[in-house]
Amino acid sequence: MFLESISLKNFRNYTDVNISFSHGTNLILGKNGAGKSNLLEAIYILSTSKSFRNAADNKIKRWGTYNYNVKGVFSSENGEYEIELSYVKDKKRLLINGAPEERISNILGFAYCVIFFFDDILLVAGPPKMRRSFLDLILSTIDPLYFEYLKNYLSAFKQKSRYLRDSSSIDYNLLKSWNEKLVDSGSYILHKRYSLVRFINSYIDKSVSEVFGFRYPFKVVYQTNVPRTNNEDSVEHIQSSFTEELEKNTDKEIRVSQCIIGPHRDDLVFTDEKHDVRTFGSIGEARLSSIILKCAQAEFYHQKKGIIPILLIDDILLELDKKNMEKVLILIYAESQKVITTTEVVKLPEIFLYDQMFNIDEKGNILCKGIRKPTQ
Amino acid sequence: MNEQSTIQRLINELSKLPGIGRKTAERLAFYLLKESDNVGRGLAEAILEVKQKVKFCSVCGNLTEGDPCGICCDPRRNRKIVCVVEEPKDIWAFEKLRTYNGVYHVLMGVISPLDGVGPEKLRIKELLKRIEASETEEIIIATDPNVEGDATALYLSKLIKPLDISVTRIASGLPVGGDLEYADSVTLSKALSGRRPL
Repeated sequence: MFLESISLKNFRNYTDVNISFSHGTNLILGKNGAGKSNLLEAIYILSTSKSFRNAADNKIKRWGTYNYNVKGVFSSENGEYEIELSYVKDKKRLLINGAPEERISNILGFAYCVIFFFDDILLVAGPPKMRRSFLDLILSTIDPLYFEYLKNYLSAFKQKSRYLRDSSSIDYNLLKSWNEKLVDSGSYILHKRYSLVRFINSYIDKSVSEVFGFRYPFKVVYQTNVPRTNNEDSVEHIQSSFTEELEKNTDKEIRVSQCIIGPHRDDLVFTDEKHDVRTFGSIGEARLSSIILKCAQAEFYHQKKGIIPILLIDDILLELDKKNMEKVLILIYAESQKVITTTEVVKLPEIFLYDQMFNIDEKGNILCKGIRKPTQ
Repeated sequence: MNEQSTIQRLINELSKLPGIGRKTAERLAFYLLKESDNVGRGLAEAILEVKQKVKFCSVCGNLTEGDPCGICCDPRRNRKIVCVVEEPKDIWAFEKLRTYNGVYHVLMGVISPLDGVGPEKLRIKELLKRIEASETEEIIIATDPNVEGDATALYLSKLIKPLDISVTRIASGLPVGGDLEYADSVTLSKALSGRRPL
């Protein structure tokens, strides 16, 4: 999948720019605060409708303006898509190939992108919610049904939580009805998350170990309070295990007035079979583990959808030592399109080549668009 | 009260109606002012009359001028089948079918703790009493196919099944005459899992 061009209006520090990208590696060069990451943010927003920096839309629009507009042309084997997202009068609007879409979430599944950036380290060291969101984003992107079940689960969860909190006497029949709705959507969520985690581990075992030249010691473990069954390919098995656990804990849930069983409490743990990387690993190890998770995301899109995603890399590789950085560069697809930001070209390793360079000055003008290919 | 505030009051009242914003309310208000007296009077009288005459049916909860309502009184209706709906307007939707011959029961909402609606605020007790008092054989639950509607349906089935009455839920699936490609994924997957042999 390739991003052909993007145009931004009143987006962050850009008033009105059009940029055409190379299908290979695009290097964005600029000083701190020049607006390099804002370009990646614009591309990413066309992939998920949200900023990877978790910024609200009214922060994304250019200071002093009321709306922004991002339009990108993407191409894949299935043809070209034009995705346009605008923010007008506090509301987002999505156009795909010029036709308005009713729901903004319909944006998922068109432009496949994987972002590598500073906060990725939170995937390993941050709160469990970050890891659940990571799994949810990947699965929602490739499977619209997952997204719907996730929404259903969330509303049933909110309703049940409120019921447990506000009711002085609990009607068991009603509690059971909410539980059935939780099981209905939650089992599908668990089923898909299990299989994604299995995929990540096999990716670490094979691809990562191959590139690093030894058996990469870490794996991810999906932690859930729903007892695992020996047949996780079957949603029915998960349903009965989930139902049973909810029934077992009904009294406890009533006592603490909270939903304590279900995938909303789950977590993903990086371990080397003995230790949790969060507590025993170095920052470098945590960083590397988070990058590997992102590489697995790219590979998952490729395996499931036959699409090589666009890789957006925001200065991240520079926190690794040179050897690991080179390994990661090998691990990420050679044939994928990349948009990479950096402050100085000299920081990049020798094996790093680029097809096109954009130079952003302090005022956010994109000055140099010439193609430069360094000699190896 | 001067002209300004009289008009303002009308605009305020109109904008309380569902689906009507400030702008539309203004347009309607100025339209009423411009048109002949009959238009405004006709509308005002119709509103007053409807609020005076139309009541909820004491049996099923439908909107009616007489009590019980026309459907509950109709001797040709099959009282053994009761279709449970959320709102009176859902009865209208079913009645347009002309093929459903049973009677109805309006819940006046769905269970939603987030909106402070529990089973006690709905007409569930009335439904159970009605089942006990009559020779009901089947309950069709036709609440909306969303999380709250489904949970309400599940809850009702738990209450009614022990009474040895068959409880069914209306099927959800594809709209007739619609294009498959425009169906959302959940609808499509429900339609798939609810498939029938030909």
